Amino acid sequence: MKKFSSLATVITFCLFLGGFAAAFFLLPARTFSEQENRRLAEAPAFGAEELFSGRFADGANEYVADQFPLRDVFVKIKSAAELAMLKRANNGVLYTKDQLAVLEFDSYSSRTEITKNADGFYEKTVAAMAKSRSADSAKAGIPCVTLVPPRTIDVAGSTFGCAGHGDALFAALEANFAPEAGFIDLLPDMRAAYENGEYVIYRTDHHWTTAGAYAAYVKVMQKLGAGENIIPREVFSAEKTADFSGTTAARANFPVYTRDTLEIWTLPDEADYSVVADGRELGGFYNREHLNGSDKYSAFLDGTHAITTVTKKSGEPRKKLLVIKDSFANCLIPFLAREFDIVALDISSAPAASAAAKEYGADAILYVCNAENVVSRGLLK
Amino acid sequence: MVFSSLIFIFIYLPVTLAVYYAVPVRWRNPVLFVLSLAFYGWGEPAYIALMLVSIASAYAFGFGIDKFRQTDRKKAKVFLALSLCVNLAFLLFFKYFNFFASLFGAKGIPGLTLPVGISFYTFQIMSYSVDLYRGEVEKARRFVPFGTYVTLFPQLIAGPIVRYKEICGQLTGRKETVSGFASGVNRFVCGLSKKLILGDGAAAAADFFTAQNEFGGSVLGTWAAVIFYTFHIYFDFSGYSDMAIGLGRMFGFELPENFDHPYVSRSITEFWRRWHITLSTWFREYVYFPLGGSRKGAGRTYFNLAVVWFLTGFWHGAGWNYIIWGVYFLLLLVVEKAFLGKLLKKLPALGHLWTLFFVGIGWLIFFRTDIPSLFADLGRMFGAGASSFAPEYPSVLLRLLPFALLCAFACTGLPKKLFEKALSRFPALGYAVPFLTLALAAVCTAYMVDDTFSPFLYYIF
Repeated sequence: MKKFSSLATVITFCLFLGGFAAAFFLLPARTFSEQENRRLAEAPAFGAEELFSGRFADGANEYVADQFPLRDVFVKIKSAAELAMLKRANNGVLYTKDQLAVLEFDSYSSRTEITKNADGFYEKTVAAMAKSRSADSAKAGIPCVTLVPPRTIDVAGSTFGCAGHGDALFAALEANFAPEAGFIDLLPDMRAAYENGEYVIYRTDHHWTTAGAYAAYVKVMQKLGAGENIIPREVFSAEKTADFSGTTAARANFPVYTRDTLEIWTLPDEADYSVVADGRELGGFYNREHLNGSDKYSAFLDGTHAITTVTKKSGEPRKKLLVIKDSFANCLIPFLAREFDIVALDISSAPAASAAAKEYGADAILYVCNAENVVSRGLLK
Repeated sequence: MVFSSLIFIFIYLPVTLAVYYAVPVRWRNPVLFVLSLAFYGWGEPAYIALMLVSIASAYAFGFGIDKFRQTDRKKAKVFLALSLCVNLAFLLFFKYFNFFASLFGAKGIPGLTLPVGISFYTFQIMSYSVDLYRGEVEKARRFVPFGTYVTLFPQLIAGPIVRYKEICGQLTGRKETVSGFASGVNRFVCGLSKKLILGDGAAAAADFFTAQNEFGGSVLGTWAAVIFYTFHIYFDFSGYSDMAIGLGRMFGFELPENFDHPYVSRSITEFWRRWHITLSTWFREYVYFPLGGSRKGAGRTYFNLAVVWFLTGFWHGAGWNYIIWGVYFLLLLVVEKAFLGKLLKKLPALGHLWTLFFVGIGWLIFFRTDIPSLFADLGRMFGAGASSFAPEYPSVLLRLLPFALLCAFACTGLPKKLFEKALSRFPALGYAVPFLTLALAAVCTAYMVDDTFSPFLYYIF
């Protein structure tokens, strides 16, 4: 039997190595991974310079990893193995069947960043951002509202017995914003709503749900003195898309978890608005084609664009709201657009809010930058 | 190239195996030599030349040593000194120049990087010259087998440190067998699992707790970080050695063992007999014994130990923490040698606790390259400067408890013992072994696909 065992070990191992090597070379290269929502690496260029600089080696490592046969199956196996070791997490995502959450800020996942951030990060860096945001708001001289949508872990901490470092972040923001910035601390209400069993954040995606965005809409309207024009929740009819699996789930690849339902809240007046994203008329607030793909959240305003405007087709004069935003605002803007004409600029490429407000003749400014973007990318500037 | 990468396992290894077994026996060493150079040069080809100069000088001076070793010891010694100087000069320059420059307030050379594996292969080459001088080995007549000895890719970059006399017979007269290959496969997959599943997992856990500590750490959180560091370095490094030994067997080599369940030791003395065995052996053979070992009185013995442990620490890295780390173990060994060793032998439970405690603290010293944060962590472990006893969210700590228990279990000899017991009770289980190995290899592949690049810790020494 020892002989059998040895022979079988050698044969299976060689077939395993050889089989995957052959499949790697014979199968056509893929250009895009649906699951990871990114372009895959291409074969590296070969030449003496590439070889000696190490670029060829780096490129080849990346190429083999990206083009490895059954890549999507293997990442699922790894996730299952992590769960089998009872870690209740994979790739930094905490697991329960009904709620997934990224544990740490992106920037904390590498050692150098930890040290960089730790040295009084909240006291210094976050405070500095809040102060510069306040100063810019004062400079603009028009009403401003600043929203920092919390992360899932900040809202759903009770499910995991852990709240990351969100509390410290929001305390620092609260302490350092001047009244001119119009900062609204959404965390307490969202947390209470979540505890109450309300569906304000997705189970599988890092965004807030449409209901979560609606709650923020109410607050923004009140802050801008338009509280009496808030459209009651009952008036909307919800168009539901089941089986939504979002960004958090894509990162973790857990074998078993509860999918989300993505809701689009509509009113009969939808056709009255002209929505233009980077110069292209979208034909409404929603691009429903995305609902059939994996990136369903992009249905809201067709995903990320550098500049998106909303006006009434009738040309009715209305106040103009400048929105400097990340993707959290995409499902908030349709609500606000019933009250204001909108100019929305992508936060990563937008100029200072005060300058942009002057350029577009805005009557008010809304700043939307979620907690992750504050800490990891410093976009609340 | 690292072993735990897809490109190594699914491209380099099958190609190398196929070519190696396809060519006639006399071509096998040249094949290994050339392909090992390719393995080494992957990503950093410039340093191939440096390694070849090291090999060529030791090879050439070997003729001088051999010529005079019986007739004129002085001349033989000159050739030995030349060989050692050339090799040590490279190591000293690349590894320690900037450290010493900073010590004397001078400007270092910016961008001076350490050639991969230089600490390991330099020691291997030196073992040849010294043993040749001592008359313990025959001179290497042909360049290719000698080059193959140094560059043999399984052990080239992170050990085990193979002495020439241990392997010279295998270089020219080894026999590859199916059962040897199979045991190599099992050992390789076992090492790969240790590195990827346990080692990298423990590293992530240690980093997680360290990150928590940066925001005001707790006593338990700091302990958790130290415990996971302790697991991390063991599974990472011993996993690497397992892979090296396994790969060696696939090509008919039997490389020396490097680890023997070090965390079950009952004293620090025993720990160092079980941890990185080939390095301890090297220092014993080529530093401690030549200095006189323990044969020249107590005072001289302690001096010799001090030299060995200073060098051991410094070998691991050009930084003060590594020197402190070496001296730290020196003190512990001296205390054990002087009086505590006997007591620990009588009280094994105390011995285990003593060993694990001080080894754990040792790893903290090892990992904390900046001294202030080392002392901050040390203080926090005992309450000084800690914000609380338990972490703010104890469930985070508890979440990783099953994994910690799994790691602890895997550190002992129990898994192997239980497996062998099961095999003797149910011999039919033997039929399942190849498929269990395959399944484990698939899981390891899944870890590599998911996290495609995770460099080895010992890579940088």
